[in-house]
Amino acid sequence: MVKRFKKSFIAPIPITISTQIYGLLPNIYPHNPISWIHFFVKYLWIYFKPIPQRSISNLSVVFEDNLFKVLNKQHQERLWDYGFFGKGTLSRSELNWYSSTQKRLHLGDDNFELSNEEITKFRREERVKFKKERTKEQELELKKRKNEISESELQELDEIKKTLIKFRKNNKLKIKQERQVPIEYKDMRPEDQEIIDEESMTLQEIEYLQLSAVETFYLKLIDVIDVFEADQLTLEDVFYKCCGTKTPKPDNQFILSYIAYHHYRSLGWCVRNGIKFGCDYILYKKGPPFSHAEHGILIITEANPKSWTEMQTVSRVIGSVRKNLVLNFIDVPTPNELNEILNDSDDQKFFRLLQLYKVNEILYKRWIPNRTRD
Amino acid sequence: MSLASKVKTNLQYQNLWTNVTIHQVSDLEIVSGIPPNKLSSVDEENQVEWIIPKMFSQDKLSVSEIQNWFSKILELSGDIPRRITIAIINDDSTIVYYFIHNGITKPNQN
Amino acid sequence: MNDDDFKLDIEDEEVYNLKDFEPDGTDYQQNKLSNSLDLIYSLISEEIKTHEKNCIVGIYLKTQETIILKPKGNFFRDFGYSKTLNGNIYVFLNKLESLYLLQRGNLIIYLGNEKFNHYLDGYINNFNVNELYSLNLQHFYSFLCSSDLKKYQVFAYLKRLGYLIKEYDGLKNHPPPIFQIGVQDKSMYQDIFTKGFRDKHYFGYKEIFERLRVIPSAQNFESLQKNYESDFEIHFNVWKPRNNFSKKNLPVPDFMICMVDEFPKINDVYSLLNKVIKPEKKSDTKPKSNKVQTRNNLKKDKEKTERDKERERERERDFKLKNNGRNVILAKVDNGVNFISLSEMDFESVSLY
Repeated sequence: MVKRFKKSFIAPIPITISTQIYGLLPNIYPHNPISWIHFFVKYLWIYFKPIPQRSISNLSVVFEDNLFKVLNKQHQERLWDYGFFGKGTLSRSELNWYSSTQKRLHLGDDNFELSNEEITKFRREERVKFKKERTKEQELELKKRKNEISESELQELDEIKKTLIKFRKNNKLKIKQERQVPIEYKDMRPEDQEIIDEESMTLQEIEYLQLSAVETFYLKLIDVIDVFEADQLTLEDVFYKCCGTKTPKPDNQFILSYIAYHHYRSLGWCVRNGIKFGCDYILYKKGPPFSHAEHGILIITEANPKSWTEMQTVSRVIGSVRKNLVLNFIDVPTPNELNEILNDSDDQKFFRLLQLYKVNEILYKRWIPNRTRD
Repeated sequence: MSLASKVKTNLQYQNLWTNVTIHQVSDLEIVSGIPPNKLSSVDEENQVEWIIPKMFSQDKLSVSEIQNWFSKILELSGDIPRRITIAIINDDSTIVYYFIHNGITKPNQN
Repeated sequence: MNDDDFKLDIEDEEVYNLKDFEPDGTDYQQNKLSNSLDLIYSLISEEIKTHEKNCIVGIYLKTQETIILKPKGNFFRDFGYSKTLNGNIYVFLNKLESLYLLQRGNLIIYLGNEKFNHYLDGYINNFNVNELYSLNLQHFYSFLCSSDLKKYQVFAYLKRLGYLIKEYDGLKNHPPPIFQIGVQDKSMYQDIFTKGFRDKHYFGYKEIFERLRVIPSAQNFESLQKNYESDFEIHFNVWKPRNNFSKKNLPVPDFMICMVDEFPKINDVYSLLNKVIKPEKKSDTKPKSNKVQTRNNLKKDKEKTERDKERERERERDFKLKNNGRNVILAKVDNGVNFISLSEMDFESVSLY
């Protein structure tokens, strides 16, 4: 049996709230006084219980090589399950290099859970098969046009055409999984031998969870992570590391990216990087395992306006994957306004910094008059 | 870890390339390697690919910079490759690969 | 990226085979190509003929308008405006409308002169248009400056698709809505940072996100509070084809179009949106199926309707997000006409939690 691995959604942010531990509050029905009593009894009961987030210690992030790394397995899992933060350095998003490499080299037990990457791989293989058939078809079609085709080839062409139609109509992917035959150490690629212990045949973990600058600052700002270099870094340290300078200007790339990131994260969206689609971010309702991203976000500032060519290029790419292209025009403060706040020494200054900026959202879409007549 | 070694690890262990080597040509790091399958359907057969690692930034890429890559690879291999691959590394560890062709090529049939 | 994002739905085999990927040097392909070329040539070489009955006569005046002496036909549903001179009702067309009808062969245009003006002013009782010099297409085109030409390309393109078009004339009959700013004070939660939400019991993620929501964001219609300096103007009001169209009592346009060269900045976008009237748009909710209820599937249906309701709410929210703001269409003319629709959005008004 081939199973597609589906996780249930836990939470949009790495904070454990009281209802997760003690259960939901009962519904109130205005005309039913008993429902009010139920509600308050439960509310009071929770009220005197310990606050769950207090017993959860901060997750550790290491700043090394100019990167923010999460190495602890439990911490990686919590960041992924609670809001899909970070990315496996050798995976498309969720950390799964280790298990997929084990599968590839037949090291572990038979494991039939398929990751999204593997499903994509199967799809691509199907596509390659289709293209092979199509090339054959085109060759035969050319012969036919040149009147050089034999009777048997003509039959073959007919057959291929039928297969091609089947390929095109078939939307279901049949995934076959081979039984695992152990691969011997000497038959492995030298690259794989380097990371496998010949004695115990165990695979070395070389992947970790990497947080981007905006993710790190967000998590640090809400105080759910501790960031270590040689010593522990303060929120201010992390801010300047992310900016890449001690004297950031109002349109510093990190600050602008962060404004958009914080805005959408705080509206409950799962915000992931949009580099694959030529935009700044893509927004998921819950997260990558549950649905496709619906919006692509492109940041624009007064100082860095976009040209038509740039706009049309991004719009084409975003359109071809059925997402909305949302332009995010960010109003930027003056250098003085920014510096005044950065010179403050209290903890709340980043909060005030965020309020210096303003987000303006515009949906960009091609209008095709042919299609809107009725 | 240099950009080139990040790309090397990515090619070796996520994309399963072999013979991945980092070449240092003056101040430029160039990666070469062999992919598990040929990268383009128009290729005759699987071949050595040349990769230029580059950090993602807002800066524009100039034609002379690209020209320089081609001539550096010429120094290395004695041949100007038909195409090179640019590996753009993002700060979330995503690496996106794009072909840059030396001149005009026939489009791929999708 | 998921691969089925790119999947094409090809229903039958005929669609496929339509296009060859590259030249293959065969006669078959050459014939196919020349056949379709021939078809195009025969289409455009066809002489444009109009029945005498449908032909309209107009005189081009110094005011750069064409006066139509006897307006008739469907075009005047949206074309031109009427004016009474000396007890006669005439229709006046602007240059774009005139050129469009001229190009279609529906209109013969003569160049006005002094004598004709005297006739209009009522000094002369009779006038024969044949005394005037008639303008051909090339001549009329020469009256258009380059920005007119671009406008004409957009105008004619939409006309040919059946749209009804008038030049934009401000917000005359439709006063802009009054914007009332909602609660936007985001400085009230100053204490939460660095405390990591350990201060109290939280009963939902909504409470947490509300506290994190500190970055100001523009609300729909908020730009009405300000005047923006901008060179961008609305040029056309456009309506979908419809029967009950009256020039005297213009409905709210379905689309409002601005001709652009550069891509606008946010101030330009807001300046344009402030000049726009928002048409009513309703989300299309699918009608419920009239399935017969049996006791057996009642419970199942109940579960289903819960999920359906949830989906319904989601659809409603997505629709609001995209359609609750104002919208303007940009028309960019280069080698062809490109249209871009810009709509204001306010993610904060439809937050997920």
